[in-house]
Amino acid sequence: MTATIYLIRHGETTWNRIGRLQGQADSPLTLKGTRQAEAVGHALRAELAERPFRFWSSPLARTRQTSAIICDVLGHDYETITFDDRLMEITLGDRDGYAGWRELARDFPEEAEIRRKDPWNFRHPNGESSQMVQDRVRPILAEWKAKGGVHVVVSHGVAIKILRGLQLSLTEAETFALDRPQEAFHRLHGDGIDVIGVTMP
Amino acid sequence: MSHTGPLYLLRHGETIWNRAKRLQGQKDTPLTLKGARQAEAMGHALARELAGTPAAMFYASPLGRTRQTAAIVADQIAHDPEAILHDDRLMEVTFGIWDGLNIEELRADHHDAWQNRLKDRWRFVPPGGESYQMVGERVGAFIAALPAAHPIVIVAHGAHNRVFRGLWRGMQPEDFLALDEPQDGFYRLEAGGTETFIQA
Repeated sequence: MTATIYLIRHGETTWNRIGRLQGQADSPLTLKGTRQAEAVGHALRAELAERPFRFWSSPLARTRQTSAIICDVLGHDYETITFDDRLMEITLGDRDGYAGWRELARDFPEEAEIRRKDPWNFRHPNGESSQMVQDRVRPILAEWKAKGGVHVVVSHGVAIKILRGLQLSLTEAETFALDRPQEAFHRLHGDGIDVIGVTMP
Repeated sequence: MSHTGPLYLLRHGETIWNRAKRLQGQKDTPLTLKGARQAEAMGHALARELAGTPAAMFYASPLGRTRQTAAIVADQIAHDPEAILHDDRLMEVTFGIWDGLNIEELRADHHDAWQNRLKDRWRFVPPGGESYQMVGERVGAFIAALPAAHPIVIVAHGAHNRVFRGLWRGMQPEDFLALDEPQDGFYRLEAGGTETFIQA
């Protein structure tokens, strides 16, 4: 049985708006982010067309908030969501919550230099590399494909890029170059990916 | 109370557990779609009420549902969400090991304790939790320490806000608990222990 997987990023948060780095730290959805979640829910409802599905979410607050709103639009019971730690955002460890990339490069120039040379394997102190994130999301992608059916997944910018990279067998550089939309989501089916746009109110 | 107001006291919007009639206490669930819309409507009404006057101080409970509500409200009144002050004294009463339980289950499974609670709701301490009286102490300390600045916006919780309003109005503690916990509007508290409901 073929699997269809919908990958949805959380709506805009207060830290997204000011460029502050979240990682596994958290900030709530903005008013705009709340409306994005609702708009994604409506587009997804049309897309699902009454097919049964399983709902997966990262357990961080911004994805819980997004999932709750999408569930209400779909008429789906929030209490049946599977919260899976493997869907959490990449953590920057000690740098989670830092003011921004420019500030990080200014305050930790040696780390920025190491990162520039090998971004895929770079880890902030106590953080994760992109490779480590790929290692934790690869099995869950394989699980969805083995199960078949429809899976709705609410996760994060980097985690979703890496899932899309796996689906399309992209190189590290190609994976980094992917976008992280909040007013569109992705459908994985067979070996391909489609982008589904969302109409904002 | 020493502060002269105006002080705007809001409760978070409806959450998943509010809808399921589960006690949240200091556990947490996110806002429902309805709850997000309530937060938006309260923010809109607050913006109308403030009529361009910036909030001098914006406080919120640090629990998830109040952070989420406060962020939506802050966007409506053009207040920087990074400038919201999170104060633990604004947290909801915790029911200890009862946090997260459905109210009907609680009545059935903890019948004797529940009956004891009804005998003295003000002083009753749930197992591992707080009495309303204990909440009154931390809320009273918060109010006493408020800066003279105004207007002040506060986003907190149902039971917490009942205690807050009771203290503000100088009511008898037993009467605090009969106050309402709206999510479709909020209270404006002013000098002389008065309050006005603002419909969103």
